[in-house]
Amino acid sequence: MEDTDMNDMLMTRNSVGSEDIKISARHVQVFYGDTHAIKDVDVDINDKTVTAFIGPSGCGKSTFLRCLNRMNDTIDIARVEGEILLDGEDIYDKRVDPVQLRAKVGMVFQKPNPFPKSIYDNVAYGPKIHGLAKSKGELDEIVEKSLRRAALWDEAKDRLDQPGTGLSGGQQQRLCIARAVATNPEVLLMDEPCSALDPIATAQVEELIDELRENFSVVIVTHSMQQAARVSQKTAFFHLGNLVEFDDTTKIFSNPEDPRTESYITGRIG
Amino acid sequence: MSALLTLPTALLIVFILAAVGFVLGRKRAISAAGGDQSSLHSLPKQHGWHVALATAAPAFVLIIFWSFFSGLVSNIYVEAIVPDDQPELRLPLDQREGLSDREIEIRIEGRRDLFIANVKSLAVAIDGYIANGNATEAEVGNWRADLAPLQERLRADGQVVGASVTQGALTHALSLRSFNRGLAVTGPALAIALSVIGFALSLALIKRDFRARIAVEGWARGFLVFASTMAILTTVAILYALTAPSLTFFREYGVFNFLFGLEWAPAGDVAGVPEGHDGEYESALGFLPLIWGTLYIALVALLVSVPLGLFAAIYLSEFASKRVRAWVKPALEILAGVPTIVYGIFALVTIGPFLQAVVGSTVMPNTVSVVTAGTVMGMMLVPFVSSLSDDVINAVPQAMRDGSLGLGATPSETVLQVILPAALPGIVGAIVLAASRAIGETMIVVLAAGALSNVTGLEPNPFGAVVTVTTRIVAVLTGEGSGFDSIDVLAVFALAFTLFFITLGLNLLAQRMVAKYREQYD
Ligand SMILES: Nc1ncnc2c1ncn2[C@@H]1O[C@H](COP(=O)(O)OP(=O)(O)OP(=O)(O)O)[C@@H](O)[C@H]1O
Ligand SMILES: [Mg+2]
Repeated sequence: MEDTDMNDMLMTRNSVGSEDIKISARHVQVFYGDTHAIKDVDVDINDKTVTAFIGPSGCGKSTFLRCLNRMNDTIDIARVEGEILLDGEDIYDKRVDPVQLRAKVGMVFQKPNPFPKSIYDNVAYGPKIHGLAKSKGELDEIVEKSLRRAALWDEAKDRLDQPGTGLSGGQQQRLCIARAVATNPEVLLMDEPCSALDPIATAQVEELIDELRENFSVVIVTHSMQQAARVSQKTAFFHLGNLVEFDDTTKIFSNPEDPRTESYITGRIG
Repeated sequence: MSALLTLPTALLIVFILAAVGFVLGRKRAISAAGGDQSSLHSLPKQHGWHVALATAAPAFVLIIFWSFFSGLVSNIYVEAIVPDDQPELRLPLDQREGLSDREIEIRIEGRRDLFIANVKSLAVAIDGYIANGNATEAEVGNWRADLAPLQERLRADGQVVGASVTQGALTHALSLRSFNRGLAVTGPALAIALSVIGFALSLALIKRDFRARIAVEGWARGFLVFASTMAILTTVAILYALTAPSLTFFREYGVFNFLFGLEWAPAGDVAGVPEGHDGEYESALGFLPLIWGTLYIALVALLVSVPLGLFAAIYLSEFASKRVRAWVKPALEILAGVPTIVYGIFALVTIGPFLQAVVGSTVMPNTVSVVTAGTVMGMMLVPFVSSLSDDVINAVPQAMRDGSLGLGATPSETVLQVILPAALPGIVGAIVLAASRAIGETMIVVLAAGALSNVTGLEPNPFGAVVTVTTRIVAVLTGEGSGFDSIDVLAVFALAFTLFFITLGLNLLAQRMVAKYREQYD
């Protein structure tokens, strides 16, 4: 039964993305003090493609994701080795400004973290900082568009001036998605964006991800095999800090090479 | 024998008894178990604790309350033994002239308060005199006020005595002393009795199914409640000590005259019956110039300490590397531990002359000034502000920083737009606490703000000398001549009373702000 569902899902979305490489990671290693969290990982993230990271809890998905926009810089004990190229440029090069990088590579965190500001200000935060709007009217537009894309507009439009922290957990997560989308990143990293959402909001976010794929590349960490199968074109399976298998999503879910991948997606490890 | 029966010895006896009780209680519980420990409801150790606590705790509480309230009881006793027709209380006819009945009544009341204060200080002086080995109890019992110049004799021994020692005062002082002696013995005796009763009862209670564990829990909870009550009781005691003299002062001098008076000039020598009423005193005791100086200096101190402290906190929590933090934080904390008198000296010998050299002696005639005291007090408050702000800034969840940085904000933008707004109520709370410390600060201003004893009006020049509430309290209480019931000293109580409420209000405000802030993240 699982299998037929999965196949249906794989059929519904076009399964090939662009072949242009957006991010290319080579020999990436991450250490937290003495903990070796990521072990020699090579991955290519294609442009205009949704890439899913799957794997059991604690295997290093979030850690690797945070390497891609240098969020690990904020953790004192974290050390990143190897090479990560964005459009051919090493993001860990000394000349690269992590601030600029993060404007291009946006992120939605595993736990919703709205600022203690109004809903409007939460979404307008990025555009204001980066000067994306020339007038109040333009800013209003960006805010509305982003909230719509994150499927939050209908619930939030009458309470834009109320604190974002007053929303429910799922609403907060969508607010964080809207906030990230509002800055128009080239790559969007999403760490379990749907873990707090109900099925309807999940479907809406998945729709958004699909829509974003037309212009950006999206990397999504998820614990839901179905979700990975539904939204992604490429899937990477992590296990204990290793990248075990990385291939087209259809391939991973129908005919995985590695026995560990197979047992994970069929629910035997994890 | 009765000399041995003091509170410390009682305390010692109670503790020894409790220790013995612990051992006996354990033994008894073990023998009650009859070799089968599991038949006991509670462990032998818990039975031991129960006996120890039942022996010590009630006696301990009694001792504490006794030390608190015996003073109170002895006050009530003096009030009661001085009759209304005591000759010393009569107001001479020439002093009654032109006064209304109400005013005469107030003066008589004043004389009564003064007389009682005299009796009390005489009793203390005699205690001291005997303690210094100048006389025995028996000799003192035969003293008469006019026998020898008693006042001189006591003063020569270094004892503080009121203006006039009369026969009436002496008689009452002697009976107060014997009352106090009785009181001093009764307390310890009661405490020991209480602990013996507790000891015996709790030992008798030990049986297999006695729930010692639960009883010990009860004692523990009681003890914790008691500890927290003590802090509140201290506040109440402070208020109690300040209220009565302050109210007397307000009634005598007039609340309005005090709060809005523009002149502070205590006459200094007014020992004895307050000679006027409702502001008609030789002393001018207006609050405004003092609170003006206090607030002026506090303002300068905040202008120095808030930006510096806040920036230091932001630097330490957001930008400094671990190594820097490991050095700078303890350094700041050491600064917080420097006694304020040291800051005062620094202000007096370094900052004051420096400022004077910079601004010139026309603007700044003295090295002491608002700015001298204010800047140094500001330096003193920097670690205070920075460590409180550091706490609230660190309490802002890391996820907030990540969220902002993840959107491509710089660290400064993150601090300014996310962290400070989130931490603002807490920071404001820290500032208010700093303000209340600045207002209550004494040693720095004593040395660096100016020591004028008389002031009129409000000094606008920040480089001019001012007086503050705290410096005037120190000056009047350490000054020569003022009898303890003079209007000047009463005014000092009113100052302390007012200061208490100002800082209390500020602290409450700060607490509310911090509490409001806590609600956001917990
Ligand atoms: N800040 C940190 N300090 C130290 N160790 C960390 C830190 N963050 C993660 N780790 C360790 O790195 C490893 C990978 O963690 P990571 O958060 O990347 O896992 P994950 O795959 O995202 O798990 P989950 O699915 O539960 O979110 C874990 O062993 C974790 O304990
Ligand atoms: Mg994770």
